[in-house]
Parts: sequence; C-alpha cells; structure tokens
Amino acid sequence: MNKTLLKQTIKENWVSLLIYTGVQMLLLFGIAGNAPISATGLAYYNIFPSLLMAIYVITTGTKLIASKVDSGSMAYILSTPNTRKKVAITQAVYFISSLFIMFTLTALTHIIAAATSRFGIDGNGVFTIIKLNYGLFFLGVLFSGITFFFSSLFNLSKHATALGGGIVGAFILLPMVAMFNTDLSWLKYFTPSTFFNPTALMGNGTAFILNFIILLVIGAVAYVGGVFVFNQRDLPL
Amino acid sequence: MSVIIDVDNLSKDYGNGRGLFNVSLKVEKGEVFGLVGINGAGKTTLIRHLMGFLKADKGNVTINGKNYWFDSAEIKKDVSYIPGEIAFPSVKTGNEFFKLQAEYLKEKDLLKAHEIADKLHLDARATLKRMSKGMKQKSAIVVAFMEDKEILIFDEPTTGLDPLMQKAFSEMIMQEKAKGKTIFMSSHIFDEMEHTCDKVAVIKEGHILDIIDMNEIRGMEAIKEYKIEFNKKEDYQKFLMKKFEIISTQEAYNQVLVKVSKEKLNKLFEVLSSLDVKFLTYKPLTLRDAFNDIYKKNKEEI
Repeated sequence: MNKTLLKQTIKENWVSLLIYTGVQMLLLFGIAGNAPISATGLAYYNIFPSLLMAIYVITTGTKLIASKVDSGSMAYILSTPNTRKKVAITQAVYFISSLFIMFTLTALTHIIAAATSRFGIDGNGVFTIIKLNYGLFFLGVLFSGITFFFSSLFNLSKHATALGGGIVGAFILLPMVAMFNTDLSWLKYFTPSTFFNPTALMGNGTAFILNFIILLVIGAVAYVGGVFVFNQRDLPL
Repeated sequence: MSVIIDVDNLSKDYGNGRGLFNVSLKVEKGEVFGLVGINGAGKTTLIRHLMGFLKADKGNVTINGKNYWFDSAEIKKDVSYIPGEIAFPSVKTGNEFFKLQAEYLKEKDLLKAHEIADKLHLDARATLKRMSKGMKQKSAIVVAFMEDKEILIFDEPTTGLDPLMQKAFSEMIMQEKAKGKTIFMSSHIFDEMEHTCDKVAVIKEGHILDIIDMNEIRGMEAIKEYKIEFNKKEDYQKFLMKKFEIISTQEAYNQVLVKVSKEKLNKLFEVLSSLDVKFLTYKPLTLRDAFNDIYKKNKEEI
C-alpha cells in the first residue's frame, strides 16, 4: 500500500462516500425512529441500501483505476517507484474500507434510532442490525469487486462503467423482477443478492454465516483478479 | 562507457504494420539520445516500453541492467518521465501537483521545483484546469527536473512551448547533460535535437532506419559542404578533375557542391586560388537534411 496514493484517493472520493452514506443514514433514521426493528428490516433493507450502495460502487469503481488510465494521470503514479500491484491494492483497500465505514455508520445509526424510539432495543435487536448491515457490507465487497475488476481491465472509463455497472445493476434488478413475477422467480438464482436475505437475517438461523462467506469469497476472487489483470496488461500512458 | 538503456530486438505488433519491429539501440551513460520520426512512427510506443507500461511481444529492454517489465518500479527510482499526453492528478494548482509528486518520491523540499518554475516563467499558483497547453507542459517539465534523477525519459517534451521556452528547455537539457545524466527524448523539432543530442535514431513504421551520430553532422566538426560557382567553364572543368568529393553539379551555372573534410580544407583553397571563383558558400549539414535523406533512401529501397 502507498500512503500518499491512499491520501489522494480519500481526497478524491470522500465526498461521494459521505453523500451515499448520509442518504442511507437519513432514510434509516426516518424509518427506524418510528418502527420496530423487524418492520424496518422489511421496509428498508430489501431495496434502499443495496441500490444506493450499488450506485456508489459503480461510480467509485470506475474512478479508482479506469478513469486514471483513461485520462492518463495514472502515468504520474506509475512513474514513481511504485509497482502496479501496490497501486491496485491501495485502491482496493480504500474501496473495501469505505464500504466498511459506510455500513458501520448505518448500523450505528439504526441502533441509535431504535434505542431512542418508543420501541427500544435489546441485545437480539442489536445483533439483527449488525447482521443486516455487515451482510450489506459483504454484498458490497462482492459488487465493488466486480466494478474494481472491470476498472482494472479497461483503458476507457465508459467500458468499465458499462460492464461493471451493467453486471452490478443486473444483480440488483434480477431479484426485483423475480419478486414481481413469480414465473421468473428462478432468476433469483442468478444473482448473488440471494445471499443477502433480510427476511432470513431477522430470524435466528445460522445459514447467514455460509452466505456471508460465499459473498466474501466471490468478492475476494474479483479483487484478486482485478489486481492480476492490472499488473499484466498494457497501459497507454 | 556503460550502457544505461539497452533496447534489444524489441517487437510489438499492433497489426496493419503498426507497432515496433526488431528495434535495437543502446544509450550510454551521459548521452543525450533523440528519437525522431513522423507521427505514428512508433516513438511513443517505444517510450512506453522503456517505462514498463507496455509489454513487448518479443525482445527485451534493460535500464541500468534491470528488466523493463519485472523491475519497472525499481527502475523508476532513477527515472523521470514526461508523458506525451499530459493529464494531471486531480489536484487544484500547479504547486499542489508539485507537492503531490514530491510526496510520492518522499521529497520534502520544493525549492528546486519553484526554481525551475521561475526559470520557465511559470506561475504555478494557477489552477491546472485553466492552464494553457504551454503552462501544462511547463508544469510537467518542472516535475521531471525537480527530482534530480539519473535518467530522463521525455516524450515530445517541448510540445506547446513557444520558441523562447524551447530554447530555455534545450539549455536545461545541456545543464543536465553536464551533470552526467542520461537523457532519452523524442521530438519532431529538429532544431532542438540538433543542439542537444549526441545521437538521434530515425524511426519509421516501427523500424529504426538509422542512428545518426550528431558529431558527424554538427557544422563545427569534421565535414562540411561547400557550393562553389566559377566564372568560366574551363575552371569549372578543371576543378572537377581535382579529386574532391563532388556531391552534385549544375553545369549550366558552372556550379559544384563539394564535401570537404577539415584536413582537406587547405587543399581546397590552394586549388581555388588558381581558378576564377564567382562565389563560395558554406552549407552546414543539418539533422533535417540527414533525416530527409534517410527517409527518402528508405522509400527508394521499398
């Protein structure tokens, strides 16, 4: 990892992290302040956070690598004694950490909102909130892994956004189609969103552990693949 | 002399005759090495290989004995670069850009950067996005020189600079050369190369056609060309008998173009003293002439 690059990446991206996190916190605060945790779980966690997170992941993913190669400013990073691997890993570390921060903040928001509402919160409730938010984080690792991979692969930002964004977008939309049209419910097996199931997370089962591991593993593979292709390919700098 | 940059049989085929084909050249320590060629000849592709941005299909490059691809980051400890197309990181002003690059190189002192900016008449407080092409180029030049690296690799470093600044840049190159630095640069401005380079490689369609030793070309050295016109045809004919290296003649005007080395200069005047000379002009050999010759010759061969 390179500290200077990490600092520069934070400078370039903290505003959008703040906005996408802030919107989720506001939504949560509004919903959770006036409903028990189970109701918030169903009303909020099914759609909003994964949608907002997907937009953040698609825009940021492209910015982290592809747009620097596209514009050519990557030349000014790689003409210093830093390996491509180090550069890609630094960007990946930022990406994953930013999602961790995002969902830690939303978890805290939900806990605080629930605790101050008239429904209150118990230990079980805290655990549910943690499961829901870190479930989203693991889903985020996967989504960001995909956009990171395409960002590392393409010279043009538009190609990275089209493919990375297209795939992540499809992953978000497929379960919605499956939800509205029962004939197409098999579609949900083609999206990793299946591994983040708010309804199941609000129960007491332990199936979620395996689901989270699957999300994490696929995400890790995508990240490693991204670092690998960026390390190997021709760069027009 | 030790070889700093060693390009060995490098090939990169982009199809349709584009790319690089069996390119070999060596740049020795302390040398200023130029690369000339028309647009699309492969100058930038070659430079991107030196920087480890492109991976060759065949062949190898070593810089300071290190592999261009596997040891690329290690090589950068000794290399400064000016890209052919300059795009800045997202910082606001020229000064912030210098600061960021200095930080990557773990350099605290920006004194040198400001010194160079002053020399180039660059107001680095200006916003990068609003800078003219020339100002952007100057900012890139500042970053390339501020680090005091051993090897400078520049892709068309003076694009966008006015003639005055091009001259200032040439002076900077000469100063770096005096410090013993090794410089590799491409350009399409012959004057600039003429004054600074020790050797110039001519590249066309991905092939190195020739490597010109600038010492052979520069006016002050070894060989020069003279154009002589005689008042009388017989003197003209007499001169032709005298075993000089005649390049061309124009019989109608009694004119000859003759190439004379320093050693034979006295002989030339000795011969001319007995002939009726109308005029004699000295024609310096330029890089442009050499370049045109080489390109023309290559065309005829094909």
